[in-house]
Amino acid sequence: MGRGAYNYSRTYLHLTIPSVGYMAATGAVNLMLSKTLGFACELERIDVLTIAGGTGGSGNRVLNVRRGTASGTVVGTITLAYATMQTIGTVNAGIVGEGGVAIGAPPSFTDTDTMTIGFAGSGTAFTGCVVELVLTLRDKNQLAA
Amino acid sequence: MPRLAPFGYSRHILTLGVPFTGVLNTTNQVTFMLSKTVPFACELERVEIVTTVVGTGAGATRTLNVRNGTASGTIAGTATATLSNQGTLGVVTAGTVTTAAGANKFGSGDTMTVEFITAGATVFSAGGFELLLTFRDKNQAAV
Repeated sequence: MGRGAYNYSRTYLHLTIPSVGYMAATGAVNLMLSKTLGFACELERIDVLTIAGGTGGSGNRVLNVRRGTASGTVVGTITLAYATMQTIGTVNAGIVGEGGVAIGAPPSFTDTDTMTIGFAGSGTAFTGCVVELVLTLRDKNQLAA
Repeated sequence: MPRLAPFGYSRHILTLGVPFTGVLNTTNQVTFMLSKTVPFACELERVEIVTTVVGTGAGATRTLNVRNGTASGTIAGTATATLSNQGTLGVVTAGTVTTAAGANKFGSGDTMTVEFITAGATVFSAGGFELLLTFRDKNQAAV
């Protein structure tokens, strides 16, 4: 990967997703609602790390990252499925792109945009599972607000 | 809007999970992160808490301070979890950052402490949240 003075630095936004209320539920629920970022950036990666293995035989939950509110544009998505969520330490990668579809350039946020992370209102509850959501953001040097 | 500038800032987010047991279920002073060395110069820009477990408990209130230095250092930022702002999963509650006298500025090698204070505290009977600290820093040499 090339280096350059005008290139990006990266930061992680990571959130622990508990079982109760999230993984062990099926309804739409927000993990983070309308957080103002305060700096312009792009969503580069979505990863989910299993920190307590799932035990629900058919657990399946879809997590969306949106630009804006809970009804904003999906810019990243990941499906959490029992088949790949049973072993501690497993990392599952999601898809980054406008509309939840992979594109060439990562979706961008302005410094005044908000970000919402939430589970879709469908799927099958896990009996038990705790994960760490890790979003990789990249930003270029910019002035303070 | 912050304009792109080659000598401007980049941002970093430090996330800390705040549990119920030992922190929210007590009114005691709790040093949550003591004197963590910050190995690069930066400024605290934003303090937020994100509810991950719905809070309950009549009158529940817990205030945290981010301090520049040890547990007696200058307060760089603060946030308060209350029964009313912890009632819904995913809600983001903004705290405040102290910019006066550069309280939010950390030099390379400074330490940072996060504590929950006793003053005004009332226990939660359930609850939990993520503490998000956003920092800005400029390109700088390695230590």
